[in-house]
Amino acid sequence: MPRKAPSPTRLDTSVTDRPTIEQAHQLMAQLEIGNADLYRSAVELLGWCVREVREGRRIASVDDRGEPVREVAMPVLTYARTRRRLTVAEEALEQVVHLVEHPPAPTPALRDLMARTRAMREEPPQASHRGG
Amino acid sequence: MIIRPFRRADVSAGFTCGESALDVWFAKRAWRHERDGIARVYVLEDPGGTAPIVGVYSLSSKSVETDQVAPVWSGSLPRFPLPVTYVGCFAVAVAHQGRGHGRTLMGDALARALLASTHVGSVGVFLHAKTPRSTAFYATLGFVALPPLVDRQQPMFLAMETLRGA
Repeated sequence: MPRKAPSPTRLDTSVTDRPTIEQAHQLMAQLEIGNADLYRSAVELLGWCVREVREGRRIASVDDRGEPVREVAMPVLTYARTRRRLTVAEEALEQVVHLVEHPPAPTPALRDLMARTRAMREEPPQASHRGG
Repeated sequence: MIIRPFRRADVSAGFTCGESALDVWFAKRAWRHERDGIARVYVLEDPGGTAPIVGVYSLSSKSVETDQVAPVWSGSLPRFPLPVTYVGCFAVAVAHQGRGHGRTLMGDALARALLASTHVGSVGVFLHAKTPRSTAFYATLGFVALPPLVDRQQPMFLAMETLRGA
């Protein structure tokens, strides 16, 4: 899907929901920073969070003793976690390679499921994608 | 019951499976993924039901790799990420759980993965089991539990040649 290429030198954005605007103004007042610094800090923090979840870690706050208190749950981080490449442990990749090179026989349950599925799919064809 | 591609109107039909991340994905991401070709999203629909969306899953191409620099195998496969077909966002609505709809959906997902592999390279089907119960279910189908990278979801793999033989 064609999209306008982002500018490498300028970033303009528009926020219209009131709670976000109010929170942004409060933060700028508390931290004595402007729009650009607020955006820069938010991007830096979110970037770090995304890198962490893509490495399989969680984002949480800790108390004085280092005990986790609250975990950050944001849809955008869930998305980042699921969109990452499938990074697996080294032993897991070895196991995948072994299974590909020496594929086991299908289990009876798999044979049964696929036979049932084939029978169902012999019914009239289904709609195509982009049906609206 | 029919299995069909996700439509934009399905968002407003609503879907609750009991896991908030999946419910949010259905409401906010599923259509975008389908529209943009990031994944192919399928729903199991009960056309006459009050809550018509019974289940959902997505299929996409991903690559399996390790973050280790050194190659970990010396067999015949190449030393770069392995292409797999990923079954994601697999869920059955709370009101319809425990009735075998998960099996129906998984059969459809595997059939589509197998068909796709005749056109686009894929060494197998990969998914993440979210509960011990689902891990056990996938294991009966021959999915092999892989050592997890972290203690969250259980990665599982089924070789395409195994599926082809079924």
